[in-house]
Amino acid sequence: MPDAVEQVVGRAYEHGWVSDIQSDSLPPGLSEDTVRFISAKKDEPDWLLQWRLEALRKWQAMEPPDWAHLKWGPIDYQSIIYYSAPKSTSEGPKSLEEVDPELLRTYEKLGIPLHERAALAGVAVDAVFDSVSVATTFRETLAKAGVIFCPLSEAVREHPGLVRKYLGSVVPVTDNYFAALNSAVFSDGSFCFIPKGVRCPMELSTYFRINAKNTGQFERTLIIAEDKAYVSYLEGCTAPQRDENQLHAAVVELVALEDAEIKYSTVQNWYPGDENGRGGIFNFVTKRGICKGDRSRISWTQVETGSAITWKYPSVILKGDDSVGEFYSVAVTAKRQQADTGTKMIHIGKNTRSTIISKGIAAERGQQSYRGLVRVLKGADNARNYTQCDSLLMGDTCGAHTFPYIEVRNRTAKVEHEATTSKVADEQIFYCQQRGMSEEDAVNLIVNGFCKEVFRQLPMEFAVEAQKLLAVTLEGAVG
Amino acid sequence: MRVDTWLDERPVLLDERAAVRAAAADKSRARPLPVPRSEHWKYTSTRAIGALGLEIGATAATLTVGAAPQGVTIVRWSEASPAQRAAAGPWFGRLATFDGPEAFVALNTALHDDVVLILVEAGADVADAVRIVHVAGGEDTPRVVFPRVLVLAEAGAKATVIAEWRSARGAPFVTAPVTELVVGDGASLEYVSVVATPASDFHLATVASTVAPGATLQATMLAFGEGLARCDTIVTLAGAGASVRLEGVGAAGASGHIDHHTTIDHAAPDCTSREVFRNIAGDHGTVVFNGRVVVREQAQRSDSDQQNRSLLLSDDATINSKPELEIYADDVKCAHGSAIGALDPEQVWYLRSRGIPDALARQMLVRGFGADVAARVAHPGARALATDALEAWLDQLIAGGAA
Repeated sequence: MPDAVEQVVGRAYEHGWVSDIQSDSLPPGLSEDTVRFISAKKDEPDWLLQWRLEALRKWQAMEPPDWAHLKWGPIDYQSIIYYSAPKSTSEGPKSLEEVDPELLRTYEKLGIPLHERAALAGVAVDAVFDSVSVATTFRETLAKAGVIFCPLSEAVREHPGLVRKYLGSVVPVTDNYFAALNSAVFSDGSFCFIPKGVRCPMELSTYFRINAKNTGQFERTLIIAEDKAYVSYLEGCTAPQRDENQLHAAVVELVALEDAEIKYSTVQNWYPGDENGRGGIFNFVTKRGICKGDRSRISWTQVETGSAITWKYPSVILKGDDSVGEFYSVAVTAKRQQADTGTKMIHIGKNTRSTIISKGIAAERGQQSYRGLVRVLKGADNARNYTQCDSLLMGDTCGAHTFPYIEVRNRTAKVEHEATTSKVADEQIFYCQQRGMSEEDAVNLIVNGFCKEVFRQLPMEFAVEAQKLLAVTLEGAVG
Repeated sequence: MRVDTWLDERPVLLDERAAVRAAAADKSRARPLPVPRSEHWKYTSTRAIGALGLEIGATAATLTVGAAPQGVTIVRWSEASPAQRAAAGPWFGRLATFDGPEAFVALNTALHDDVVLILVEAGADVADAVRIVHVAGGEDTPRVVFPRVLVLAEAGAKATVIAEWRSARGAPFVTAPVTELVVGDGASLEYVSVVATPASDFHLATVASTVAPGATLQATMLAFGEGLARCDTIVTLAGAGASVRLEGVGAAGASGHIDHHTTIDHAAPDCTSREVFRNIAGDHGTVVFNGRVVVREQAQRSDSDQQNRSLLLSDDATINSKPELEIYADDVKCAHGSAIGALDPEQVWYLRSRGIPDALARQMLVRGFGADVAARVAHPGARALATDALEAWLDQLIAGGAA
């Protein structure tokens, strides 16, 4: 079959579709021409095209990773469409009546406002204009503060110096299989620059970014906080979004200079597939931040309830002295979902500190793994790490696993790791039921208590939504 | 290593071992040494072995077994009776499997020359420990040996086995032993292994065991050295209500590399496991602990606890710790913990404030750090041996490694 695909791709090249800019979509397949096409389509400078091509060549020589505690069949990378122009309004559902009623019921439960439901479900309605106008106002406020917040493709045109300096500086092209793939074919994403001494006046969110639609499956985000700058960035959405791409391979890079602080929160609720494990998103993400300057701080908070497969390790390189890295995570796997997620904390500077709090919940046939690395290099005097990862099992067909890697090369370091696995005790449920709660409410209460340490790190609105999301995800998993 | 030549030259076997050995030979021809990128060999490279120009040695020259106490039969496979072979046959190669990255198990299974069988009669309560002593090295030619031991404790038996793996100075020596332990219904087996690996030597051991319903295994694995020691200990709790206490110390000095890999597999309900490992790395030494606990779907009401503590004694030492939990059942109590640090200055100060000199204070603390593992050995003779070996080695480590 790949031969046939290659033939098609090869033939298309003979006819010179590379220069045929009128074509809005590529046929499936990945080759140098695909990359050239994407780059040309976006009107990119030559250095970026060369960077992409280099990534592609490296990717072609790499093997997909097999060390994760995940099972998935081989992915046919030649059957994926790597570029398609934003879909016209005619392709989506015309109105909410056409949307899957199951999806609408979920929106109802999550309490999502009406016009947002339409937008999320992919209905092409003008209701979205509300958020666009809101976004414009926000943009003006940001500009006044000197904050740059725009799509990455726009940043390549408007701020090439910054992009060129930092793109790939935290996640190198060859970092891993999926990062290399992303580097070759990334579609778009956010660019965010907080200049020296500026405290970003609002929480930044992809939701408020103009042109944020159709950033596609290979999203790329770059956030830079200069000296003494502060930014809090929210990614994702609690509502299940309509998405037709099965493979997602995003890259996020964070750079924190002296005394800077970046807080990055994610709520991910992509389609997890049905109860038989059919369909569902493969989420292979590389997220990494570098605390480049002294006393800088990067904090990752994630609530992962979606996707059929999650492969994600938001990491912090603690290079500056006295820098701090944090990772707070709640991951839920139900149905036949699989998650292999955790973090990496690389201690390089002196007096660096890191905290890892990971809560995994497995229900139904879900498989949940925590995989985390704490590495203390030789010069990292007085490094400290505290790791706690707890798993909660609901039902006897799920699994919860813990794979911490602890590597210490400095004797003044202090590294602690603790993990526990337990189930929701019958006594706990019985106690709640005695007080007049339903079994479902009792389980929600216990699960929320289990996740509290992480939810506390989320911005308030997000935290409230995350709790509801957890309840919806685990609906019917009790018993 | 000239693995293919060795395989071609080995005598043909027609006994119970034949099929397993043939499979191991196929595996060894395809891949004699572990792949460096394999997750199972992440922290330990065996690349240096390939370049040693090894000759294969006979275990008759290196392995000695003490007298058999009442209730125990010790016999080499080559001299065993048909009945003895029939008893041991079904277990041979069934516990120490090699379908994954266990290259040295495959090599041993394919190339071992004889098997020491230790058979403990059903119901026997054996007070004296069985002692196996292996002395590697002391030769001019670099050599590799594949010792093989099978311990079969029948139902209700109680016994202790001590295995000492020592080295004499000489050309580089590679010891790749495989030990299989069968603990029968309601039996109780204590196994103590002491490995000392000098610089330039390699010790690549696998101890695989199965514990039947109501049976107990207590295993204490001590490994010290300035060479490379990789000790894989695999315990399968195969019967309901089985239990294991697995403890160990890994201590490396000079440029030593000591790697303990353990797997405790809860394959039956109502089993208990307790695991304690202490790592001590001095000088340029590296100590690895990879402890995996698996709880299978059917293993409800499993109770498992694993603790790993590590001590770094020098600025150039490395500790890698990887405690792993893999849980597929829900009614379980599982926990693990790992902590890494240096000697606590407050503890040193406390001892000094009582008039104890600095060096002695440190020695006491390092000894104390490892001592409780040896102190929990149940058999008095084995405990004394373990304690002496540990103290001697830790003292040497402190002397050489700027504590």
